Amino acid sequence: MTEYQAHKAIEILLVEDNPGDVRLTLEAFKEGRISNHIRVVGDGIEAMALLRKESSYADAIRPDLILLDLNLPGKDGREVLKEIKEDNDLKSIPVIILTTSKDEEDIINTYRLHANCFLTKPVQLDDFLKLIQLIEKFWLCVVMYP
Amino acid sequence: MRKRKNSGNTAARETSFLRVLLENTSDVLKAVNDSGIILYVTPSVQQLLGYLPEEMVNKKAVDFVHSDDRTLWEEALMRARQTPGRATAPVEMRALHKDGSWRYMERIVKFLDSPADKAMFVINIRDVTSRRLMEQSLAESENKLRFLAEELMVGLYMLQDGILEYTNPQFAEIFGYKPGETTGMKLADFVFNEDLPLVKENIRRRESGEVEAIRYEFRCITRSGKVINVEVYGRKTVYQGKPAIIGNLLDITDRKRTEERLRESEQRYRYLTENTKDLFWVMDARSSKMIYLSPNEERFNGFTNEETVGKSPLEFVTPESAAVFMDNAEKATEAALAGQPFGVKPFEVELIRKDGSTMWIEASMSANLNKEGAVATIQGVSRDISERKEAEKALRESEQLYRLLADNMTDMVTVWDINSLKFLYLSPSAEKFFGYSVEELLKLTIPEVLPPEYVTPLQDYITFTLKAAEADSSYIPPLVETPIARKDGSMIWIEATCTYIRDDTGAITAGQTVNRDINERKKLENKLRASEEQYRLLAENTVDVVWVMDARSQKLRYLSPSMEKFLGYPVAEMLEKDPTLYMTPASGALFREYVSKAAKAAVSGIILDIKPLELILIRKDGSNIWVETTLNVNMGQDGLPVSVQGLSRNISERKRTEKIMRESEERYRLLADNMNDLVTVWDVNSLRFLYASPSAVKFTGYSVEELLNMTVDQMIPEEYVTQVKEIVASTIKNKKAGNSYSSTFFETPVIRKDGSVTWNEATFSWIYDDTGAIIAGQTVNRDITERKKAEEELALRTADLARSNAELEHFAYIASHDLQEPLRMVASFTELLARRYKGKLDSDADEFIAFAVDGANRMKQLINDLLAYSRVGTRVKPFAAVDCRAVLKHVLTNLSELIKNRQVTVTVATLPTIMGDEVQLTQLFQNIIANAVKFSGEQPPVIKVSACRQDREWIFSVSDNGIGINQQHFATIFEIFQRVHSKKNYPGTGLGLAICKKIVERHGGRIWVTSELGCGSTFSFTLPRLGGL
Repeated sequence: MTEYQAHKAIEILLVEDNPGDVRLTLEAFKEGRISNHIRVVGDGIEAMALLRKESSYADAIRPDLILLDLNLPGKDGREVLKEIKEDNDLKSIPVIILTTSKDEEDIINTYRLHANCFLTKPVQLDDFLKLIQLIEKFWLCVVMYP
Repeated sequence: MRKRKNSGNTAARETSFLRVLLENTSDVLKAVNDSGIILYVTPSVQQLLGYLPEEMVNKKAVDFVHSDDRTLWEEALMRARQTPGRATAPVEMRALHKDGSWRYMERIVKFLDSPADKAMFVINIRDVTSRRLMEQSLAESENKLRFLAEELMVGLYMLQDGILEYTNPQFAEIFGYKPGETTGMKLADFVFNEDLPLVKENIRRRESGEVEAIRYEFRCITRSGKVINVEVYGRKTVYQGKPAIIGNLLDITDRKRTEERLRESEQRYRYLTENTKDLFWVMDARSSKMIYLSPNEERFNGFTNEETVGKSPLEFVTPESAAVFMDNAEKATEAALAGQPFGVKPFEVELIRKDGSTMWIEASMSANLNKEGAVATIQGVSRDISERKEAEKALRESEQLYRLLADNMTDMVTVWDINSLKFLYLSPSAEKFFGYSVEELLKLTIPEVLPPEYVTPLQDYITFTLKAAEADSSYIPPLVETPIARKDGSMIWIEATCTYIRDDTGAITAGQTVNRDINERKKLENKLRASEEQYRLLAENTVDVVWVMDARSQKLRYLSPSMEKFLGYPVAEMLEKDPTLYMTPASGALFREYVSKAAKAAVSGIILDIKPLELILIRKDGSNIWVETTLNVNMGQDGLPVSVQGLSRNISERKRTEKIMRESEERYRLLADNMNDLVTVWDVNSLRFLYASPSAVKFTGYSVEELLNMTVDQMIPEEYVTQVKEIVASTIKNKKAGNSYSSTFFETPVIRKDGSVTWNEATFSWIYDDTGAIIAGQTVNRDITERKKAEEELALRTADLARSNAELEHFAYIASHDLQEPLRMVASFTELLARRYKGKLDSDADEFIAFAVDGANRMKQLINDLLAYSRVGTRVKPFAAVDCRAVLKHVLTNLSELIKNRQVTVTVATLPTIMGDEVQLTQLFQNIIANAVKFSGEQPPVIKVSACRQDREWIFSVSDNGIGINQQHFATIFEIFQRVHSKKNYPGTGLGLAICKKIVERHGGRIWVTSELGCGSTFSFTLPRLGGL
C-alpha cells in the first residue's frame, strides 16, 4: 500500500451538485496529507458518463474511490449507486455515500444497493473536517484495494 | 547411615544394598541427633505421615509427637541413652500426619554412642493406628457385652474342662453366692447327685460335636443345700482354642412347683372356674352321701363343705323337694345305665339354708359309671333361682293389680265374639254406660245396644277392620264413634278403641273395645257446628244484597241488611219504594226493561239467557256505585209473576279498573298513531307493505293508502334492498338452525315521494305463522337524517383537519429539512472564514463574522427543534409498554453534564410503566427537566419527579425551585415559538414546551403548569394508565 502510494496519487471521484459542499470537501482534503487527485462532477449522468468513459470522458482515469451525494439533479445518487454496483467493471470501486440525509430508509436502501459506507455530512465545520480526515485515513491509508 | 570415606568397595556395595532395603521397608527408620534434630528418615515416612523426608530432616523430632505423648518420648530417649546399643521396648506414641490427624506409632529407640561426636538415636517406627483403632472398638464392644451379661436377669456361664470360666452376677445369685464367687468353681459342685450323669452326658454330647446346642432341665443344690430346678440352654463354642460350652441358666423351681399343683387340681378347678356362680357337687351313688361340694357352697346355702360332705343331700331340702330330687337322681342313674350320660332336664328344688330360710334352686345332674359299669357317683350343678322365683311372684301380683285397675276405670272394656257379636266380658263400668247390669249385658249382642240406624254402620266397621286385621297382624283399627242405646231408652255417644285378640296360632278369637263416654264432647261439637253455620250464612250475606220486589206494584218488599252498607239508607227506609228511585235514569230504564223482559219470558216459559245486569246506584251521599244484578221471577199459582227476587253485587272496583284499562289502552293507541317513528309491516317474499303507521306521510310523503300499494324496494336504493333481502335470508336460516335472531338494526336512505332522500334507522323484528315460519318483517323506522348529516360533516371536517395537519407537518418537515442545506453552507463557510481570517482583517470584520456564526448556530437549533416538533406527528412508532423509571434514567444520563455543571439535585419517586413511544417520552422528560435547569435562578436547582394515579390516568409532576412563571403565561408557554423571556437571558427556540405538548397530546394526555413567580414551577401532564382504557 505504501509502495502503491509512493508511485501514484489516489484518484477520487466526487459526485456532488452543491458547489459549497464541493468546495468544503476540497478544502478538507487540502488540509490532509495524502496525495490525491479529486475529480468533481455535478450530477449522476455526468458521473456515469465519466465512469464509462463516454464521449468527452474518453480519457478519464478510473477512480479508486467514489464519494457520492444522494440528492442529485438529473440522475439521483441512488440510481448512480445501483448502476455502479450492477456494472461488472465498476462494482469493485468503493462507493462512500456522503449526504445530508440521516434518513433510516436511505441508510438501509443504500446498503442494500451495496454502498461501501454511509456518512452524514456534519453541520459543524469542525466535525466535517474531522470526517474528511477520517475518510482519508481509513479509505486512503488503511484499506487495501484490488 | 552415612557413607564412611574409608570404606572399601565391598563396604560401599553393602551400604548401598542396605540403603535400598531401608528405603523400601514399610517401617520407618529415623536418625535423631543428641539435640533431638532429625538427621535422616527413610522415604517410607511419606506413606506413614505424609511428609517427604526432606520436609522432616533438620526439624525437631519432638515436634512430630503428640503433646500428651512427649513425656513418653523423652523417657524413651532417656532409657535408650542409659543402655547404648540396645533397643528399648516398643513405646506407643501418637505422631502428627501432614494432614493434621494423629497416627498411632510404635517406636523402638536405640542409642548409638560412637563415634562420640556422631552420637545419635536410631528409631524404628511402625504404624499401629489400625491396630489401635481395632483395639479401641474391641474394648468398646467388650464393655457393651459385659454390661449386657452382668445386668442380664438370667444366669450366664462358660464351661471348659468342667470349670466355670465365667459366670455372671445373676448366676452367682441363683446359687446363693456373691457376684464373681462362682467363677472358677467346678460345675459338678452345683449339680444334684442324681442328675450328674445326665449333665455329664449332655456336656459330652456338645463337646464331641454330637449336638450344637441343647436345652434341658436338671436339679441343682444351692450354697444353703436347697434343691432347685434349673433349665439351661448351652451351646458349644471354642474358647482360647479349646472346646467350651457357653449357656444360660434359669431357676425354674417356682415354675415347676406351680406346674405340679396345677396339674393336680386342674380338672376340678376348670369346672369350677367356668361356673363360679353355680354350686358343683358330687354324690356317692350307693350311699347317697355328698362326697364333694364346691367351695362356694357357703355363699350358696350358708353351710361349709365340712358340714355337708358325708351327709345326704336330702337333709338340706324341703320334704316335697326331697322327693323330686330322688326321682331325678333315679332318672339320671337310669339314663347313665342306658348309655345316655347327659343327665336329666333341670328341675327345681327348694333348699333349706343354714339359717332356716328356704331358697329355690334349679338343679341338673348326671351319673358317672365306674369301671364295672355300675353307677359310682352322681354329679350335679345347682343354680340359685330365687330371683327368678321372686320375679314370677311380682308378676303375679302386678297382674292382680291390673285386673283391679281395669275393673275400676271409668272407661269400659268389652270383649265380644267376632261372629255372634255377643259380649264375653264387660268391665264393671259397663253398668254405668248402659244402665244394664253386667249379667244382663252378657246375654246381649252389640247390635242390641245400638240405636237401630247405627247398627249397620258399626257392623260394617267391624267387618272391615276384622278383615284388615286378619290380613295384617300389625293393623290397628281406627277410632270409632257411635251412640249407644241405654236401658232407659236414652242415648249417649261413645268413642271406641277396638283391638282383636289372637290365640297362639295368631288366629283372631275375639274383639275387644275400650269405650269412652264422649257425650259431652259430642254435645259441644253439635252446638259449635250449628253456630258456625249461622255465622257462615251471615258472612256470605254481607257481600251481596238479596232483595225481593213485588211484581205488580214494583215496590221493594225485602232487602238484606247489607243493603244499608251499599247505599247508606236504612233498610226500613227503602222498603215499599220503587227500586229505580235509587238508580240513575239510564240504569232505571235498563232495569225496568230487563224486569219486564224477564217477566214475559217467565210467563211464556222461556228460559232467558242474559248477561247479568250492570246498574249504577245512587248512594244517599249522592255518589254512585256499580252493581251487577241477577234476577229471578217467582210465579204465582195463577201463572202470573208474583215477585222478582234479585241478587246484587258491588262491582264498582271492577268498573274502575275497566275504566283505567280503557283509558290506558287509548293512550297507547294515541301514542302509536302519533309517534315520531314509522312502523311498517311487509311481506318477506314480495316486500309489499301490509301495514304502515300514520306517520308514514311524514316519513315518505306517501299516504298510508299509497304505501300499501307499494313495495319496500320502491322506497330504498337498490344496494340497500339487497341488504334487506340478506337480512331476511339470514334470519330465516338462523331460525331454522334454532338460533334466535329477533331484531336487527339497519341504517338506510329512504327515497321520498318528491325524490328527496332522508336517512332512517330501521329496527327489524319478525312475524311468524303458526308453524313458526317467518311471514312478515316489521320495521320501526326513525329519522336519523340530522344525525347522518352531522356525522358526515364531522367526518368531512375530521378528514380536512387530518389533511391540513398532515400537510402542515409535512411542510414543517420538508421546510426544516431543506433549510438544513443552505444553513449548513452559511454556518460552514462563516466558520471557515472565522478560522482562516480571524484577526487578519479589522475588528469590525471579526465582529461581523461573530454575528454571522452566532446567527447560523441559532438557526441550526431552531431548525432542529422544528424538525423534532414536526416529527412528533409524522415519524411515529407504535406504542409499547415503557417503564418510566428507565426513561428517567436515560434522561438523567443524557443531561449528566448539565446536572453536574449546575449542581442539580434530581429526586425521582416511583414511576409507573405506561403505553407509549419511548423516544418521545424521553424527549418529553428531557425537555421539561432541561427547562427547569434553565430557569433555575440563583440557587442550585432542585427538581422532583413523581407520579400519582387518578382514575384511568397517571399524573406526572416535575417540580423545580426556579424563577417561576407568571400566571398569564400558563397557557402560552406551550404554544409554538412563544417565549416569555428575552433570548439574551434565556436562549432557546421557544419550541421545547410546544414539543412536550404535542408529545403528551399524541399519547392522549394533557399538560399544564402551576407556578408562582419566584417560588418554582410544577409541570404536570397526564398519561393514560396501562390497561386503563
